[in-house]
Amino acid sequence: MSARRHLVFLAAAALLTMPGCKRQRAPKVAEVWDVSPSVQRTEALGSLAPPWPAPTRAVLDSGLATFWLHEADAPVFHARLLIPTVEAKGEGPTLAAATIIAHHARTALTRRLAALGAVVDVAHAPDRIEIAIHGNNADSALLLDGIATVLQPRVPATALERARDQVSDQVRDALTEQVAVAELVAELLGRPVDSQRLTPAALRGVSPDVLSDTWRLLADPRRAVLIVHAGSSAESMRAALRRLSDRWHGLGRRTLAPSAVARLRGPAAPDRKGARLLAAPATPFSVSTAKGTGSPVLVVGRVIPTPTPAARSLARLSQRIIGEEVDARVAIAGDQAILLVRVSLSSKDPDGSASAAIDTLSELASTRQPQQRLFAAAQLWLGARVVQASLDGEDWTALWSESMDLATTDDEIATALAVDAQAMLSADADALLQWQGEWLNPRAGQGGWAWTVAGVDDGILRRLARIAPVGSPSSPAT
Amino acid sequence: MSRLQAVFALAGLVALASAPVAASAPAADTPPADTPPADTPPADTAPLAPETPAPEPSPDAGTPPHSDRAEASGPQVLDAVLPCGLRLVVARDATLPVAAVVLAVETGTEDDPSAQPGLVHALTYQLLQGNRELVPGGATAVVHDSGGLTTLAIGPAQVRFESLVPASRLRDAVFTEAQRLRAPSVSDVLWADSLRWARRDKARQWGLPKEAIAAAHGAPGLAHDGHTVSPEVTAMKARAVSTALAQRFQYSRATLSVVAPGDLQETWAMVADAFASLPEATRVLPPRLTQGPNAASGTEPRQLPVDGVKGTTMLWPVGPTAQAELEATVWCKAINRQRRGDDDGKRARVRCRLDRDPRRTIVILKASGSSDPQALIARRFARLTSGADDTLVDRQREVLLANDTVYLRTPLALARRLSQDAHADAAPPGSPATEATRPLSDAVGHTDLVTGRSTPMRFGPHLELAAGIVLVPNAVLRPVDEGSGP
Repeated sequence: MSARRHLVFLAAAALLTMPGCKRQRAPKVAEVWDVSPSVQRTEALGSLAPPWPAPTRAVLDSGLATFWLHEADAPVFHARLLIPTVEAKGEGPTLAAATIIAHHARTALTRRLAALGAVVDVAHAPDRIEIAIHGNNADSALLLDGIATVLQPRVPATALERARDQVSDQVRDALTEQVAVAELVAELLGRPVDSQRLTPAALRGVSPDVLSDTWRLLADPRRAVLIVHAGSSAESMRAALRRLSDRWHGLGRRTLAPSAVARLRGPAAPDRKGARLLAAPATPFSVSTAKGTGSPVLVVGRVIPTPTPAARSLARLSQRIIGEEVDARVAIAGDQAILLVRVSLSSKDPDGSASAAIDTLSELASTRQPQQRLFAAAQLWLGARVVQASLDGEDWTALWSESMDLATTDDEIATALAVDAQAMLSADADALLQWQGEWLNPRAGQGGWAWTVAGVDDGILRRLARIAPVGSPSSPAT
Repeated sequence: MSRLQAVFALAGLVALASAPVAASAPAADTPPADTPPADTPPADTAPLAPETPAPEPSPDAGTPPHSDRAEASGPQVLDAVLPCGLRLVVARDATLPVAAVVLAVETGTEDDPSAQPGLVHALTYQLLQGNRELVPGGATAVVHDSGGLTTLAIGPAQVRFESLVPASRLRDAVFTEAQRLRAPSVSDVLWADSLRWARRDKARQWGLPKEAIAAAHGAPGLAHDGHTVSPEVTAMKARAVSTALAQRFQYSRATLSVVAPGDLQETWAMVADAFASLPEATRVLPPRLTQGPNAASGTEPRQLPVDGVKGTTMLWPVGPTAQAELEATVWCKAINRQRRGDDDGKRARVRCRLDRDPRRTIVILKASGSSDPQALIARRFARLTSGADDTLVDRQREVLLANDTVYLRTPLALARRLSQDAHADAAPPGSPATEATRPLSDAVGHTDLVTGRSTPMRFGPHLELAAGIVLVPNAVLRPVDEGSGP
């Protein structure tokens, strides 16, 4: 091409770029936000998981499984005792009895350790109670002794009855959504409703014999897991651990679970194949007959299998995404997770509320999310996890407990949070879409859905019957 | 926690593992004062207190100070003044991959001009509106989008911008603080927006009337409500707002404390680099940081008439340092645990507590059950100063040291404490680089707590009996009405 022709082309190009007499609106260009982020460059994986060293793992003579996380020069001592509330075959104490035991343990430990300035917390996690003790590292041995003293095998019958009365006075009537959630979760997991629901009447009805049996079951180190985060090493605390083992032991024969993770896992949820919502065959509404205060509510849920870290990260990421549109929650415990979506039912158009919620969920499940949005959601979630852990006192045992929920074997626990972070940050939009279509679409995805309403009157039930049969967990659909 | 989360917690089966809630809109957490009393001395001009110039910065003060004292025992901090006049303190905490950044500016609501109450409070909210590099609310968004937490603390003598972020976002958090005071965006629209936020921020309730706190600290500005949005402040135009911001919010009167898991020197270099483009400035500090509270001027405590006072209440100002506050805490705890003396009545009781603020802490002592409460307090004091209660004091010192060490374990708490440390003579620019390294225990005020147990606790002259103020009911000192009487 000659230089002259170059000039002609340049002149033509310049003319094209000059504004015309009439300003033309630029053609719309679809925004593309689907650029794959570079995980390694933007977020070092180690920056989103605790830098804990390999723990000292031991099973004491008493059968107590322990993980000792040593942080050199840490001035604190955190101990977290994980006590499963369900047996391998699904049987276990009622929530009322377990709550009373937990209350007593907290009260007794607080009283016992008050002189050391220790703080005792009790938290509920999937299928377990967590008793956390926070104190000074210099008092490590005394704090371990306190655990042994309070959880001794002899049943503290009088104290347990006192605890029952105290908890009964504190617990108020449940809200409608609490009732609905408890009944739906029980249905999804195939367990008795009283394993999930706590009422003042149920608490008052716990007999001394039941309390004794529950104490012997729960305060048995052969079922429990102890996690310690301290400035002292496990080696230096060997004598205290031996005392703990000598003084706190179970009674009778019991087979030890093969691993700490196995101790905390409940049985697999029953298969609910084919159950979809607003699709054939129709899945009936379960109607709670229990008393609850508050407005009418519908809770939709399902069990999701999460056998791999990738599946777990997709479940978490999906919850973050759809949680921006609906009130959705996911709880992950190893190879299964529970998804719950709460819907407020309009008293004027309850069937419309329910249909709209299912429509929204179906639409979200079939919408491909931009890659950058997934990345931003993952970053926010992972960042918030470590920030919250810092605000809560930088207690590694809490994160270790969370890590146990993400692991399938004991060996995986130490890296489970980092693996989770990696999987979330590198989640693929297409894989998420496929996964959501399978597990989050109540109309067309995998079966296994259930829904429960609470706080509804006959008028609302009649309206709901227009879109699906209305039944109850214990009665056939009408 | 959402209601649904609460349900799960109650149900006990499913612990909802939703993301921890990141901080919501910035909320002030430390403020003072209520309503201005009628007898508040008029402060005619904007009490931008005369400031103490610090030594001139040296050009190389922004380079990472090298530590020759690395072999010193215990954790260290790097503490020096950058060429722009900003004091930078860097500490390390590797327990979790999070970092805390606290920018503390030594101005506060007590510096409000009398004609413009609430000015500093409103200006602080204006500093959330960004600048040329940050959109309005951008600094907050940077932190929140990473799952971090950001808060605002507006006190009578210090304003703090605090962030806690994942460690991987430390650079972003530092960048926002390096922009915050740099030509903030100001317009009438943004100012109206800032005032709307300021109106939602309620004042802190102190345990004593404001005039008593003002009198104790000798700071008349403490007597007014610094959190009000006055008509005079509302009427300010953009130019006036810009001027007021430039006068009060400068890096040369600020401290940036950073606690991060990375190497001290590397963190220092990264932070100093973010401030390197600022012009050189002389560091200035308000006199309240360099002078401390007044010591006793006589042999008897001063009496202050105050409305609504019952019983005998005494108060003492506490110095503007962490060390002074810890000293006062030991002092207070020891008094609360003293045994009843032989001369005390059976119902004699002395109770002490602290109204805490990074710069304006007050010790409040109440005596009851005695016919001569002041004599009762004097006897308790005498036991403290004579050494009769040294064992008791030592025990309180030990307990406080252990608890405070645990408290300072988290990066945000440590960064706050480092910004509280006034350290007016901190590593003057131009001094040998080795001076920039200090023991962490010194920077957080623990030095005196860890000295030998037999060392008498030095409570300082401001905690002497004669340095206190006795609050008396107003009627006691009210002059007799001339028209009354027989």
